[in-house]
Order: sequence, then C-alpha cells, then structure tokens
Amino acid sequence: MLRQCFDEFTRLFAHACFLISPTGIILRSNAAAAQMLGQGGDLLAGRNITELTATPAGTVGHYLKRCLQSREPVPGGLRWRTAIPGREVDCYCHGYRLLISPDEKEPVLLLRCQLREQAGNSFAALNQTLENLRVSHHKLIRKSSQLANEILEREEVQKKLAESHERLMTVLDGLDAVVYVADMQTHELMFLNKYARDALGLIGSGVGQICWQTIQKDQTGPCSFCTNQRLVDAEGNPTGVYRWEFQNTQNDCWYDIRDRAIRWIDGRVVRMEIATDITKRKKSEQVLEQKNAELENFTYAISHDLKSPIITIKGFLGSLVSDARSGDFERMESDVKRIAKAADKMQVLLDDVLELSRIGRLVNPSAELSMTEAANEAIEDLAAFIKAKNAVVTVEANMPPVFVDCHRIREVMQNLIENAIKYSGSQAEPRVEVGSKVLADGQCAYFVKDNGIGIEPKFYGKIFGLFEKLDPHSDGTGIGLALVKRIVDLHGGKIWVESSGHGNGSTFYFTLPQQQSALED
Amino acid sequence: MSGESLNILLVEDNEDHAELIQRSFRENQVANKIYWVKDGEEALDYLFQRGAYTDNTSRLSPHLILLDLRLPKVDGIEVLKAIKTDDKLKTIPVVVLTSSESEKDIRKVYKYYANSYLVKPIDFQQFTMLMRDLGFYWLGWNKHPFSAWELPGTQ
Repeated sequence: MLRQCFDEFTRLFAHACFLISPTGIILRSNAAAAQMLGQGGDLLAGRNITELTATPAGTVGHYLKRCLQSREPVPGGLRWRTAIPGREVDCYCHGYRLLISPDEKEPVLLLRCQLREQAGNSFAALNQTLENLRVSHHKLIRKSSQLANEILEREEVQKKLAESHERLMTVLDGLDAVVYVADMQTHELMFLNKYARDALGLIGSGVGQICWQTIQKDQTGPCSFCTNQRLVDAEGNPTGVYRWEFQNTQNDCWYDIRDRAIRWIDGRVVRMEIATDITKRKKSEQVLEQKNAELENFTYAISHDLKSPIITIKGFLGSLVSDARSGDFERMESDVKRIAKAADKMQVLLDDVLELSRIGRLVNPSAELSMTEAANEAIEDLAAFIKAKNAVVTVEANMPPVFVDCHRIREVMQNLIENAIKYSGSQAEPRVEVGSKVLADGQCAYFVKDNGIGIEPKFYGKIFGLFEKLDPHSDGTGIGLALVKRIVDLHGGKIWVESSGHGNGSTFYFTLPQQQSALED
Repeated sequence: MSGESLNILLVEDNEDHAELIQRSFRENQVANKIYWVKDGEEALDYLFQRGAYTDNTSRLSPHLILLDLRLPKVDGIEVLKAIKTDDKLKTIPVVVLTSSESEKDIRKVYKYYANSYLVKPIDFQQFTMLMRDLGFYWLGWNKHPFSAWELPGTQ
C-alpha cells in the first residue's frame, strides 16, 4: 500500500525520491532518481544506499538514525555515485520518517534529493531576479518621486498662472474702458469688465452670450465690421494690435478701439478688445467740422457777394466818364443810380454780415416769450410795409409760449413775416397767417403761411443757405433766411418750409424750446 | 470780324454786371447778338427748350456761353454739367466768368470740362479789356466746331 502510494506520488517529481528501510535498503525509487544515478529503478531496489553513496557509511547511518528519530524533515547532504564510473553528484537531502502502516513491519524513510548544482543555479537565478527587482524597484521609486516633483511643480506653475490671470482680470475690471474677450470661432463672450457691462447696460457677467448679439444691436450674424480677420495671419497666429474707430450700435457712443488676438489661459486664441469712449471728442470734432464748413461757405459767399457791388460801382464809374464825354446824360443818370444802389446794397450786406456774426456768440439768457405777442410786435414794426403792399396779417391768439432769447426770436418772426409779404408775387391781396400746430411727435411747431409765389420742393434746402436768392431781381441780400435758420438752430429748434409749388404760397415751420432747460448749453 | 452771325448766351444773375458786359461788347463791336438769362434754371430752359422756352423758336444758337457760378435756383456748376454731358451741347465753348477766385471752383469747373475760367476784374479798365479780348479770342481767333449750328427747336 505504501509502496504504491510512493510510486503514484513521486512519479512526476523533479527531485530524486527514495523509499528506504531504517537500515538504508532501497525499497522504491522514482524516475528522477533513476535519471540522477543513470540506473533503472529495478536495479536500485534492494540495494543499500551506503553502496550507492560516496559519503562515509557512518555519516549516512548517523543521518538515517536522525531521520528516524525526528518528527520533522531532516536536512542533510549526500554524495551519490552514478552509473558512469568516476562521476558523482552532490545533493541536498530531506529525510522524512513516514508513519508505519499496518502492512509494514518496520518504519520507512522517504529520502528526497536535490542536486546541489541545480539548487545553486536556482539560487543564483533567484538572487539575480531579486537583484533586478531591487534595482527596478529603486528606479521606480526614484522615477515616481521625480514625477511627484514634476506634478508639484506643474501645479505650482498652474497656480501662479491662475493667480496672474486673476490679477489681470482685476486690473481689466478696473479700467475706464470697454474690455471684452470673445472666442474667435464661436463669438462667445468669455469676459467683460465692469465698465463694458455698465456701458452696454448688461445685467450679469455677460459671459457665455454671443458678442454680436450683446455688444452690438440689430445684427443678424457676426458683424460685417468684425475685425477678427485682421487679428490673425493665415496660420491663425496673432498678428498684433489693430486700431480703429467705431460708433457702437448698441449705445451710439464713439470708441477708439484696439483689438488683438491673444492666447487665453485655456490655450485658445481669443479676441481681446479695449475701447475708450471718444464720444465727446467726436462730437466736438463734428461741431468743429460743421463750423469750418460754415466758415468756408461764409468766406466764399462774402468774397463773391461783397465783390459784386464793387465791380458794379467801379464799372459804372468808368462808364460815367465816357457818358460825360459823349454827353449822354440819360445814361449818366441811370449809371449813377446803379452806383448808388450797389453802394446801398453793400451797406445792407455789411450790416447783415455783422448781424450774422453776432448771432453765434450773443445769445441773451432765455426767458419766456409769448409767440402771439412776438408776432404782433413784428406786425407793428412792419406796419408801413404791410400797408404799402396792401397785405393782411392774422395772428393766432394764445399760442404756446417759448423759452428763448426773446430779441432773436422777434427777429425771426419779423423776418419770416417780411419775407412772406415780399414774395407775394402778383398777389393783389397778400395774406399772411401766423399760427401754431401740434406735430405728429407731440412737439409744437409755429408757422408763417402766405399765399405768395411759393417755392418748388427742389429749392427747400437752398433757400436757407447764406447769400442764396431764388429771385435774382429781389433786393434782398440772401442773408435773411440764413439768419433765421441760425437763430432757430442755436435754440436747438428746427426750421423747414412746405409749399404746393410755384404760385401756391408757402409755409415756414419752426420749433423752439418750450422749457427753461433746453437752452442751457 | 467775320461776316458770320456769332451769338453769346450770357448767364448772369447780377443785372449791373450783365449791363457792363453787354456794354463792353457793344463798344468793342464784339458780338452780333447777346442773349441774357438771369439764373441757372432759365439757362437750362433756354438750352434744352423747356419751361418758358418750350415754344420759343426765336432762340439763338449760341457759339459761346458766358457762365457765372453763383446763380439763383440752379448754380453754375450744375448748368455746366448739364451742358457738358449733353451730346449736342457739349461742343459749345463755355467760359466761366465769375467773381470767385477760389481754387476749389477753378478745379471743379475744369473737372466738368469748362473751356476757360475768368475772374471778373474789379478795375473798370481791366474789365472792358477782358471783355474785348474775350470776344476777340473766342469769337474771332477761335475756330468753332460747327458751321451751320442750330439749337434743337430753333428756326
């Protein structure tokens, strides 16, 4: 039973195994044992291991005795002789005393042997593996500590970057200019400073909104004036600052704008705009331009219209000489008349020009003026002229009052009524009506209406121009309506003319401030 | 002067200047006939047979147009433009005669193909001399591109 178990158990063992009697007789051996000793198992059975070992018999016997007495496996060493003469192998051994089964008369020992050579190799290999493991472990530890450092450094850099980004945002937020950052592809707003939010009347941060919807008004897509294309080159790299001026469509303010593509903290190339409000400058520029144009017109008109009477005077003076020589007294008389008329005209022109030049500066403090009274006063002043022309002037009672430079507005009234009668044409009964009406926008307009020659629509603008006359025969200087317009303009009002065309009369409308505050600047 | 009848269309709003010009021409026996219109609109009506001139068959076909710049209703530049963009009228020499010495006017006038730009001299002597020379040059020395020239609608 035991021997069968041994066969089964040790058959596939890599170690040489022997079942031996307490005296050293081999009862059984496995294939590995046969291979080790170079002899078949059947040749080994029945032989004493002392015959097969080079170890002294006493030592062997002592070892076996120790094995028999011990409950634990007993390590030891044996030197076996192999079938090849002279060849011996050293082995480590473990001897086990097996329990005595009923079919055995005496205790048996199991001897397991391992070649010392093989064992050594294994240890060396094991040692090598251990050494390798130790080295790579060391390396790993070094590497991981390096990585840990790098991660720490990176986190530090990231933190510093975030901090400086935060600082930048704080600085931008405090700037007195519109600053915003938007994605160049999606047009999504990524940052708007406080000034920008206030300027655009935004509630909340505005972040995440689309720039052309939030910053501009009435855009159906990315703005046609978007500067994104100018901020990057063909490869999409930032090219530098692009500077331009624009009147914002959302708040109508003018801005001096600096646009630039920059790399955002998340790595995206984004558009950053910094825009300073130049509305005031722009407005004064416009006023200045307008004044310059006015001045240019004025000089031009003056040089032409003041020169004309001089040419006339000098011309007919020269003519007088030949009239006297030829004795043409009739022509002499008419020439003298022409000279006198031209001189008179020059005087009127100079007076008017002086008057016009005063208008720009001399505005009396505004006061309440009854337009009905102003019209009636004008009629009194023009009484002789009205009577001579057989004209009838009617004035609406209780017209709404105005807050104006009273002296100037009386001038306006007088000018318009005088013009209305002057250009009555062949009308036998010139009629002039002064009144007021409420316009579509609720504003009150005053009007002076006549039944005179009328004005064709194409001349509506021209009649208010300096020295412009529609009728070359009229004795006016072409300053009257320019003066009227100037006074109304200075009050922040508007003046315009309506007429059903030639021969159908015309109506001059004008608006004026009806409250104290309107004239303050 | 040539035996041919040479006509001037004078576009001038200042009555006195028109009289001076006509007197100078008469005294120097410059033009045979001068027709005077008083503003830009009348000048265009005359040339294009419009308005008061629709049925006027006694109009003269001008060989020279003397044009002032600052005119009531339609100003001189507009009249010049209308003349120089009309296939038939553009061959008529247009001499701008004005009191303006502005560079802007001079540039503008030549831009619209005026043939000459003259500033009215203040001095009477010079004024008459200019009128005489102007007449001699444009109606005497100068050759015209038309022999039997007639405005549309004239007889």
